[in-house]
Amino acid sequence: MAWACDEMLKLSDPSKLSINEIRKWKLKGFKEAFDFHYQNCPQYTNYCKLHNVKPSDIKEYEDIGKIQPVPSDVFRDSDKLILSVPDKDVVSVLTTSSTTSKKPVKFAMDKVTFDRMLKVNAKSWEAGHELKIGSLFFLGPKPEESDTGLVKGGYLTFKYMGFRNEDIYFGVRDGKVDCEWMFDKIKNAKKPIHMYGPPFVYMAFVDYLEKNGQKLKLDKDSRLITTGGWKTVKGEVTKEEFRVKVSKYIGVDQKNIRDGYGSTDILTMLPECEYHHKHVPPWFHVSVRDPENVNEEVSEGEQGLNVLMSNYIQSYPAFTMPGDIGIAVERNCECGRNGQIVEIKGRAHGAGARGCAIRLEEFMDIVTKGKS
Amino acid sequence: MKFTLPSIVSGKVIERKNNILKYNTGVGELELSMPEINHDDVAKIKKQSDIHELPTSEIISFYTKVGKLWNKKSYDLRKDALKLTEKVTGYSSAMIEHSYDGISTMLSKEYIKTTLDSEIGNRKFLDEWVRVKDISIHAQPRGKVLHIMAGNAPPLSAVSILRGSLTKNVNTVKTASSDPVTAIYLVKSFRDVDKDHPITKTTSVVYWKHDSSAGDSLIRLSNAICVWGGADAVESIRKKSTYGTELVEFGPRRSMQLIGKEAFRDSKTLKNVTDKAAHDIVLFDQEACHSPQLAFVEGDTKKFCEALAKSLDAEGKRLPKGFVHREKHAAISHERLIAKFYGEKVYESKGTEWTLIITDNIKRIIRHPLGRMLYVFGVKNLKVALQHIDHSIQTVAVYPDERINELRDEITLMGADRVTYIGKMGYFAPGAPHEGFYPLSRLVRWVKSK
Repeated sequence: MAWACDEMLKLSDPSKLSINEIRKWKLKGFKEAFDFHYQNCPQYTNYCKLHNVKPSDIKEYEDIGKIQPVPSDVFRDSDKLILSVPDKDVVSVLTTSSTTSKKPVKFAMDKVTFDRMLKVNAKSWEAGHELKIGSLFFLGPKPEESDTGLVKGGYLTFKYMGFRNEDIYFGVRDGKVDCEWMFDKIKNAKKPIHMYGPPFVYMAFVDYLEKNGQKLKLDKDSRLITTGGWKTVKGEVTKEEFRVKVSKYIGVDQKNIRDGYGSTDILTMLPECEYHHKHVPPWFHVSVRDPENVNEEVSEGEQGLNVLMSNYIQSYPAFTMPGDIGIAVERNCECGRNGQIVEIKGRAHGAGARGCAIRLEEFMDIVTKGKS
Repeated sequence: MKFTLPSIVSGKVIERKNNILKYNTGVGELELSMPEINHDDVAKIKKQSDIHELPTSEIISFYTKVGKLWNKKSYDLRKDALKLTEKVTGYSSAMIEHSYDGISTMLSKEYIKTTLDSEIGNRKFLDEWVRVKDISIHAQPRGKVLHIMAGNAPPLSAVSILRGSLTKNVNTVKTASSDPVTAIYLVKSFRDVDKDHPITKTTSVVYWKHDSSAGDSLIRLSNAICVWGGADAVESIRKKSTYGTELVEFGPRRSMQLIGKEAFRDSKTLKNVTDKAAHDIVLFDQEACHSPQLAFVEGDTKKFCEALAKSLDAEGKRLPKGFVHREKHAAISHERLIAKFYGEKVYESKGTEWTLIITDNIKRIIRHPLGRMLYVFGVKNLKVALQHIDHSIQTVAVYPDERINELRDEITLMGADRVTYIGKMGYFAPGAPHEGFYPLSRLVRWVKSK
């Protein structure tokens, strides 16, 4: 059965609709999605009942913020996949990266969700990042070596968009960033040349270029897309410092160095425009909750806990809380796109112990390190 | 708000303003200026004399006088320290008053003497050569002791400094950014006892940020280092210290409570137990290694949690939570939601003051957010709980007291270092081993002569 999101996907760039039109689409989409998960995911149904939230409560746009969020860690801890569709319908599972003590978070897709994911993300890349077909340097391993949304999800989307296998390069080879190999391949790659990956790999590549006295000059349609955390091997780097350095050595205008808010929770990356604003296309919504009472939203523009919501995912209740602290505002952007813009301010889970108390998670990390 | 803190180098107050620490106090940002240690400071610390000739009785007398000062709530330095510590640590003033009361208790003559008698045995070992059968034995100081402090429990700097002095070492304290105040004010108060005293003139309290070359020099010249806190701090000091330096590590650990069926004898008994359990949870907002993060209950967990919820409300009035960072609120809210998704029973305060989660999945404690949250497990017999003890567990509190004898062997063989009463998890008896060893013994070199 077609959902509102399927209709939205027929529009050339839904982010350029007026705020009122976007609100109407979102309300329709989220009413539909919430009702579906409430009816089809028994754990979610019980959880919503506990919080006294039901589909008929969603009457107006503002009511989207009443939809009960699910902490992403639930998708990590659970031995079984959390699903709103039958097990047999699962066609793919995307994960986040794991650590020694943490299992990966697992998000399952049925065929409908899988197909929509490709269409939605292709739309984000084409409309959001204005990505034209050329060659793509993935600053990560091959998809057969990683099930993460960043690698596998990204790869599937690029393939769907029409990038040819021979024009997709993987810069992490044998577990290491192979800067020399990438530098060599970039020289003869099909234009426009795009790069995609976490900031620390870009920095490793830039360090390589600097050390070897090299500079690249990519063409005006090239996009350098970052996603993932901003910690590098040398510590923290600000986004501004990053753009200056990367622009200098890779030779791309700073406006075309775009950071995406990658979230496997909603199987997407929220794209950044040329003004470096992260837009929320209408098949998503970011509800910012009061950290002290997560059933309440903060006022617009205030920092809080992000709830990432999707109205296209039918395989699991994609109203997740990954633990990011952020801000969301609804406005018309200079780039012509409208609706929600989000800013990420950090991780709530950074609030560890400040003294000698230890959490089991940290202890297991220590034990594992000691044995390795 | 802007405040200035000095550092103290070999008893001298240093007032450079070359380091700014910023704190979110909940009612605005606080800027604290304090000196960053430099190589001149390190050179002075390196050259200073020792206190080997000081008789133990004199050291006890000195600290007892310091303790008497800190016993008075009206003492100027205690009052000033309280105001500033409240702002930088986020603890409530009641919590800090409680911990400063603990400082004066630790610096009492009785506490100090018991500590020495238990840890060293004959106090004469510290002052002279003592004939033991055919040989003479003496406890010589290590020399220069560096104390790397954590900021989670204000009294710890007093504990560490006292241990260093009782063993006649020269103390340098590296304060934590999360509480740089208490150690500075404590050592400043030495001048109010005797500004010319050898302990006053040799004690230093300094601060440095990560990767300070002067700080690294100080680490290298120290003969012993007491390091308190998280795994990162301990690991960093291990890497930076040189061969032969005695590393005395305190933390990181976690703790648990075992509640026997006897707690359910009647409502009065249950209230008595939960009042004590609540105190253990509330103390230092669970940021200490002795703070219980989980409890095993041999009986009706719901009944226990209902009583404990009331006790936490009451204890929260006596020792309220201070300022809680947004990230901490978020982490607590997050864990509450996860529990609800799994259908676990959650008892919670209106805000994030306290949370109790009844679960049967031991893996649920993995991301414990601290901040007065307890995971409660029902067991048919307390012995079932012992399988969950490992070397990360420091303290296990048991109710009733009589069952400690039944369980203590297995508890400690599984890895825990301390078995105590409910309500006493945050209070270490004088002279008791700490983290499985006697700290004073680690701060001396036991030497012999024919």
